[in-house]
Amino acid sequence: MLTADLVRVYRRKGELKLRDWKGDARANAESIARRYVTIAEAHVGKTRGELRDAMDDVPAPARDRKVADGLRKLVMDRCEVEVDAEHDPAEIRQAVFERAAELRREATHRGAFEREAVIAEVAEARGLQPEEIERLLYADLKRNHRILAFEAIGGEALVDLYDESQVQAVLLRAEKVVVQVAAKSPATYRYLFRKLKFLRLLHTIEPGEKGGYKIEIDGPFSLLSSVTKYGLQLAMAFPAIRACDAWALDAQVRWGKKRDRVHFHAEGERKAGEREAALPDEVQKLLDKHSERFEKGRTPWAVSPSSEILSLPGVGVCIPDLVFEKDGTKVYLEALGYWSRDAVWKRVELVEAGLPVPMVFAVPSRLRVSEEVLPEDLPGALVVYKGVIPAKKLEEALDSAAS
Amino acid sequence: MERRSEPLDEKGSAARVRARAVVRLAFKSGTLEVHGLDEGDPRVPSQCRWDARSACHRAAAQDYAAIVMSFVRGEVAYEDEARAYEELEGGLRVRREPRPYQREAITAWKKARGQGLVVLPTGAGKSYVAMMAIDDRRRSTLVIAPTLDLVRQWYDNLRTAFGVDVGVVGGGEHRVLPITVTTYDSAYIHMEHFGNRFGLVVFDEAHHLPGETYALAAKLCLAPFRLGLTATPERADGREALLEELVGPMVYRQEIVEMSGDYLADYETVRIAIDLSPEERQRYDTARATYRAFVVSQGIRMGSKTGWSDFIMRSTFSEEGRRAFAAYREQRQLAFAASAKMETVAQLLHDHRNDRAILFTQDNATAFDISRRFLIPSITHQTKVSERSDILAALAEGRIRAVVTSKVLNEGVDVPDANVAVIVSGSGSVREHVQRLGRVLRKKEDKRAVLYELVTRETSEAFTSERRRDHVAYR
Repeated sequence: MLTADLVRVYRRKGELKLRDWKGDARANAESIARRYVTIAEAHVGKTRGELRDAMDDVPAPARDRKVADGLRKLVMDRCEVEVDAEHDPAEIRQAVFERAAELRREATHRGAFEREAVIAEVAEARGLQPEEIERLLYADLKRNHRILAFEAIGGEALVDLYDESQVQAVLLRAEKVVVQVAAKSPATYRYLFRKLKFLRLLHTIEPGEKGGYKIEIDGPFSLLSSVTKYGLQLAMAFPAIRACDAWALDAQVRWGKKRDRVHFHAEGERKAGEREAALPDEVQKLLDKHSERFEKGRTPWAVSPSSEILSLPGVGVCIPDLVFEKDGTKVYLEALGYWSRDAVWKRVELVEAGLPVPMVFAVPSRLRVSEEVLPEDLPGALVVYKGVIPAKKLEEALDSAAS
Repeated sequence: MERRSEPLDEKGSAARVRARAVVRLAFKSGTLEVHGLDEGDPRVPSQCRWDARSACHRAAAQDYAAIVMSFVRGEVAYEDEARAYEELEGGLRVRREPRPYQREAITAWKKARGQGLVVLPTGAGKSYVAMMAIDDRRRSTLVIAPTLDLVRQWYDNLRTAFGVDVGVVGGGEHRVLPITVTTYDSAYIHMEHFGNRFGLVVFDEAHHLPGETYALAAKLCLAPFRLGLTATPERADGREALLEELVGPMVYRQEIVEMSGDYLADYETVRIAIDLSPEERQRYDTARATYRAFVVSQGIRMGSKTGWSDFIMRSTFSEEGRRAFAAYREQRQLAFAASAKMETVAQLLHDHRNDRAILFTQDNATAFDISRRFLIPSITHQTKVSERSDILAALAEGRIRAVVTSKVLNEGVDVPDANVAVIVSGSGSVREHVQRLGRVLRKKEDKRAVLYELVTRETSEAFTSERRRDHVAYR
């Protein structure tokens, strides 16, 4: 991740903005990135300090300095390093320094203490050359660490990564984030909410003005006062936000030496060619099979993938996979194939707390849950199945949930 | 409802039923959640606010004691799932007669219901005040110190004093035990996870606490008992007032001059003026002229508040600026590590070859340079905790006689045998300097300590030194 000083931003009227790539700036950055990557690949087996010095020699004009430093940081982050394992520098230091203290105490005058004699003596005792002792003395310092491997990346991809890391570096200083997201697949939303939960962030959801959802994200303490304490978590949530088909992000950020409160905006779309989050296999099969039945007139329930988030503040969110429709009545279905038993109780709780729509939960029998745990008088039903979800059983559940 | 017997066996559902029955306090990411009271219920303590995101009331963990008191006064039955700290099984294993001021300090702290700040000079035995506080309250305790060196030292002291294993969080370790030591940085990061596991928090060198980020560590923690320790509560930014809110009022204060001779070793300060060699002088003057010319041409006033950052910013924009910055560094490096200075270091190492000396430098590069040149160990931020302990142990045992360090040893690290300090180069911060003095001030059998300060004559360093001596400790 980048640090704040490596981000190309400017401030205007309380707005913090990322600098656009103007003219040939991006091409220049890519060219610098390619050179760094080539150098890093050639430095596997050498030290961090040597890699650093070699990258120093790549000329970067003053206006590209920041980008160059940022790219260097990202290159360094992709290096796996190890300390010289053959000799223990700490042990050699101890021998040298303790012998030096002894000899210095024995010295009757200043000139009687000879540095080179100490080194030579310790070297001889270990069957090493004095130069090797000189080298090993501080071989464990960070800049002397040896590079074991470099995680490969292209120049263009490294600049893309720099772009993403810039947003993350800004979010490190964020107090709260409001995102507008839209996704066709429930799996995308689920990834985002699982991530928020994992990062222990809290959120509020409302429908977005242009479709999709508006989600406000911050942490528990944010209620009491605005803090940047959750900056790291917000930055870590960004890849999940960026995975949405379309996203826009607005953040309240504390920036600069005085930590002024500024507003930050970024937005983007899933790039063409990037893989769309797929429906789980069992859901896709169910969708295909049921669509076919509907087309052949064997069922009155039409079916399509759902892209809704059902939220009950204080209880949780529910993200259905499919939506069934008959005579204007909608019933949603969530398949709990990969979930744990606890997830089922959580769903029961959601229905009890008053989900705004009728729901059917498809639960594999391995979870050992009885269909009766969801009381009949509530607008929801459980379908417990083994292998594939039987069509007939599903329709009964849809009718029961709708009534 | 009997068909629901299965889920009721589940932990979650059982808790659900109970949650609806009574008021429940829970610790969540450094905050307190109060469940079971509707918005607007008159029994809601004033510290709480309604949180629609999680459908409960919420307050800072720091307000735990006040909220519990409010429930007790209002006779509100509540279940406490927040508090996760224990009573310690045993107290101090080794008791010694406290010095009068230590006794006064602990009495004042107890009178303030176990919340407050104690100000004592470095070397006066602040940590024993903390030991007495832990012994008095017997609650799981977290000690927060600014550096890993101090963490290591607290770790050793607490283990010896209480005869129990002690946890460490920071420097690559993460072990939380009923008595745990950590750094301010780690406390800021981890308090949201373990802020409910301690009943007493000791803030060592508490003047660090009022910074915007570190202050949050105190707020995310529910400990009802808090003790702050420092020699110098005053801060350059004036935020020391915040200490009262985060720790408690100042309950006790003693200044350095009142104690010297009684409990601290006598010490003398020797200032050695160093001349640059003719060649160094020429380089210094050229470099300084280059740097000054740029500063003047840009209209930067280095003495002003923003002078330094103006210089940094403008020096990156042009070739001329970068040259000026390089010149600035060169003249500074010449003053800090003049060849005659190194000669003096060699002489002092020889003169004090039977003593225990600590050398201080301004930067790591100079520390490594001295270490290599004179073959004495260095302690920097990169030194591992174990090696650091080994070096200090070797110094105490006399296997080595001198250590060079950059800023690491600055605050309160106990090197009881050290009787010589050499400031090879340093910044103008008064506090830093007093802390450095504290290293050689510890009372030990008629020990007389010497503090040398090496100042390069007719350079900007001489001015820095003047500023440094502007403190009561220099008499």
